[in-house]
Amino acid sequence: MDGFEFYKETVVELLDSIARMEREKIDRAADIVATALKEDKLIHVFGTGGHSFMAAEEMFYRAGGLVPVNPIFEQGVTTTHGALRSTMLERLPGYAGPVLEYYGVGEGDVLIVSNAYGINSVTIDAAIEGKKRGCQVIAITSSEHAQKVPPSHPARHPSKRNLFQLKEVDVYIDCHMPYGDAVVALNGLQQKVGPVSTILVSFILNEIVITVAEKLLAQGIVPPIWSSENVVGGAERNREFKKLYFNRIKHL
Amino acid sequence: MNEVNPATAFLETVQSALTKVISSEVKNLEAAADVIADCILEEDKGRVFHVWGPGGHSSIIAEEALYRKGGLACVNPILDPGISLSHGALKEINGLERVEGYARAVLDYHQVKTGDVLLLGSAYGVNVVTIEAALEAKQRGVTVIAITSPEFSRSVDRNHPGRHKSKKNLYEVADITINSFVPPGDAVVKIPGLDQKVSPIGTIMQCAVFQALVALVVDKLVKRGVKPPIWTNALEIGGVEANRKYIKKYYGKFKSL
Repeated sequence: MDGFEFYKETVVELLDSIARMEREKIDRAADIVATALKEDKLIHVFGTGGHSFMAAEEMFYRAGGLVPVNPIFEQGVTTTHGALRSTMLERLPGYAGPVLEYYGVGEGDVLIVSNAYGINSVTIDAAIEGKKRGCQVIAITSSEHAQKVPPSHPARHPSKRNLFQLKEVDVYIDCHMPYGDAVVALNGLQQKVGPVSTILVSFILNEIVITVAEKLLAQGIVPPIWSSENVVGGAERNREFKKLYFNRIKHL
Repeated sequence: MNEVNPATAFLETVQSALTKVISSEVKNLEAAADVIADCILEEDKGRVFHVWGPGGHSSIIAEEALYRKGGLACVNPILDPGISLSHGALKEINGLERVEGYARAVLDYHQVKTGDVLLLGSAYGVNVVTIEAALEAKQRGVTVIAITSPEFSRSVDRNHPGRHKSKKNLYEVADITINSFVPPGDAVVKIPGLDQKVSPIGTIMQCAVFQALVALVVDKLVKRGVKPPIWTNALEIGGVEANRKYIKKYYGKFKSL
């Protein structure tokens, strides 16, 4: 089997195991989100490091995505404003607090903390702060990876805790990312290629959204979903949402 | 009754602050310009001249230094998106500029190293990021030049929660300090009927001192037989082409470019 096939097979297997093993937790997360939406609360999404940022992008202003999503696009912990810089800043204790304060993360809201590695300071602080501020905290992370990183690793939060084990997390959904992310071993190359984290996390987020939509419809409520601006009638359908949320969602 | 026009009051206050700079800061400007010129002359040996204003509005000084007509191209303006107004003023001023370790990460990212010169612009001269930057830079063997207002720094209580844990002021850490004479409180115009003063002079003074310094640096370089790279206005005919050779040299080297 060549690398191409192996990657495909592995991704399919991992999506399958998420569907089997995480379904119940995705359902619980969807309950939490649906309840918050009924109370007109915001769903904050924070991808706490490097490419984790994409989780917030995936959920935000997306055709077929939930409207009341507040992406926490913290430029210091994304690759967009200096990749090397983001690796340093994600390791600073005390960074997450001002960020959550700034985005008005508060009582009754939902905070989704997405970070496959689940060990850096901003990740751990974000979950702890979120809980302190009265949020329901949903974590998306890989227990396999976190458990394989020794307590002394410099990327770790001073408490050495893992996101998936925090008591502050109400629901933790395992993204089944294997240790090191990349899955394809090639002859002659020490480092594997083909990372899977983005695909796996995006899958989980979208399954949450789908489940939320189904739950709300079953209760006779039409969920707030963005239409595509790029199809006929899309912009018109979105107009009311933009009016309602433009001042509430910083990055809208 | 003699009514003072608030607009003239502001402008006259700026004038008098500039006069103070002219009367007392020339020797500090000369000393700073010598150090910077030395650094620029050894650019081929890897020495870099960095400019950073670690704070919300303080960051404006590095924008002045960045790709501006009549400005030096051989400068690394450090514009950190987090320590600036551009990605959430409230977030920066109320929080991020107090996070320990942040300054160190920025200096690492911009590769501020032994032998370099770091110009720090901070009128207030007290926040965590500023003091950490100065201390960390000195520890690395970097010459630290400050454009700051010692009078302002002294007006901030030593135990203010926004201070660096060392409780030091920027002018106490820097190798050379140029006084920008920003008065305590920054805002200078008293409007009858209002308790709080309005219209701060910080940016004007910090940037005025900076541009004065640049003029002196360039003069010294020319007197030493070297024509330093100066940006041409991109809007002028031939401007973009004139800049092209500098862009080629510095685009990858200086992250903000």
